Formats: sequence, structure tokens, C-alpha cells
Amino acid sequence: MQDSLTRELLERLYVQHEKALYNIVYRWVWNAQEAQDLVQEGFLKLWEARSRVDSESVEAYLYRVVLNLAAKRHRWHKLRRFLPGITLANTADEQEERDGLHHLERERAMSNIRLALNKLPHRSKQTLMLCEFSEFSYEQIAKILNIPVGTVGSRRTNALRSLRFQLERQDGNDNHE
Amino acid sequence: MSRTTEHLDPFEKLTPPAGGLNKLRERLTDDRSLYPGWIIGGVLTATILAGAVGLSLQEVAMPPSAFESHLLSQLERYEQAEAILVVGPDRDIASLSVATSNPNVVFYWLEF
Repeated sequence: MQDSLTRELLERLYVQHEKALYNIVYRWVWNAQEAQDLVQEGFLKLWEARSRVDSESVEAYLYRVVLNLAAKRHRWHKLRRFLPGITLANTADEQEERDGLHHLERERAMSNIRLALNKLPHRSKQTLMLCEFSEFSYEQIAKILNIPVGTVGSRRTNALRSLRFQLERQDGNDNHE
Repeated sequence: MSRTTEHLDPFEKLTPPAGGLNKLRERLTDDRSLYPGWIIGGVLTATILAGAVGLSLQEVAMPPSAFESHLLSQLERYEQAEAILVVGPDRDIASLSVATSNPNVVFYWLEF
């Protein structure tokens, strides 16, 4: 994209993709502010790399960068558990507070969803999140993840099956408590 | 899907915090350069520590406010690292004893 990514175009891309990217990243970090920061970090990286990114690939590049940032932040969160002296970001889920459902019930349900999504294999989760939130075609998702188109569908199916299994198992455990 | 989760959709489309575009504009104009003075001091510290424990050591020292974004940028360079250890000045010795059990640890010195 030789000098064709202007600030105006970048901002237009942000408006167009912010919500999808935010929802994808949120399923890794589970924190509203952190998810937004990571999405913006992806746009900053795209801006820094604008001379090297082909115009045909700009969206794929953006999603790939943001997915990588989310995965790295998730890894960082896992490592932070072993570092009690480090000041941690607030991991409270502000979205939960605003919901009309009973807080404890929702908290428990959200916790189950987090656990189930966090247990998905990394690649399956990436594929599933892109399918659910990006509104891209399988062909476009295949390009972002650099995998065959058929693999997108099979990964999505397997991820959904695994997610359902995890949620049903957790529900069974809850009902036995 | 289940009794406890039937009210919630795992793929519920959440709305990002307001003001994202303005925040992005601000970040685009920020000076994102690092802090050379802090890094030089940190490198000296790191060299001494690396020699003491025999680690392959990568070290950064900088104000906490800049640390997180720098750490994330550095993660890209260390894809193969098995772990990343972050310590503050008051617990360096204890943390180093953890690091020595893994030769692939990337070690950061966080200076306040």
C-alpha cells in the first residue's frame, strides 16, 4: 500500500472495524478498556507498517495483527498470575455491571462462558471469533489465518461443538453444587 | 444451551467504550519513542545480573508508565521464549532463582 493509507482512510477503517475487532479481542482479555487499547494498538501498528502493507491485504493484515496482540496479552495475563507484586490492571467486567440480569447469576454464567472459550484451542478460537464477529467470508478469514477455506468451516464446527460441550458440562457441575 | 448460561449469548455483540476514534487520533500523534537513559542504566544492571546467574538475558528498565506497551512490543521478538519474567527491584533475587530453572526465560528488570 505505497503511501495510499492516509490518516483519513485509517480512521474510516477504524470506524468500520472497531466493534468487530473489539468483540474478538474482548474474548481474550475480558476487559473493556484493555480490549479497546489492544484494538487501537493494532491500528497503530498498521499505521507504522503502511508502507509495507499492500492495499489488497490491509484488512487481513489488521485482523492478523490484532489477533496476535490479543493472544500475546492473554499469555501475559496467564504469566501475571505468578507475579503477585506487579500492579494488575482492573479486570472487572464493566459490561456485566450494566446488564439488567441479576448480578450474581450473570457473573456465574459469564464465568462459565469465559472458561469454555478460554479452553478452546487457540486456532479454533481465532477462527470462531472471526466467523462470529468479523462478517468476513470464509475466503477472507482463510486469507487472514493463512489456512485453506475448508479448514475455516471445520474449525468453526469443531469449536462450536467443543464450546457447547464445555458449557453443558459446567452447567452439570453447577446443578450438582 | 444450559440453565445457567441460557440468558447469555457467548457471541453477544458488545459496544466498545465511547470515544475510541478520538483516543486513536491522540495515540497517533503521541511520541512513542522509548527512554534511552533508562535503558542504558538498565542494560548495565542486566549485564551484571546476567553474569551472576548465567542466563541469556534481555533487559529493559523504564518508567512503569511506558513499560507495558514496550513489553508487548518486545513480545513479538521473543516468540520462542518459554516464559517471560518480570521483577521489581525489591524481589529480584527471589525471582532470579525461578529464572535459573529455565534457560529460555526472557528476563525484564522493572525499575521504579
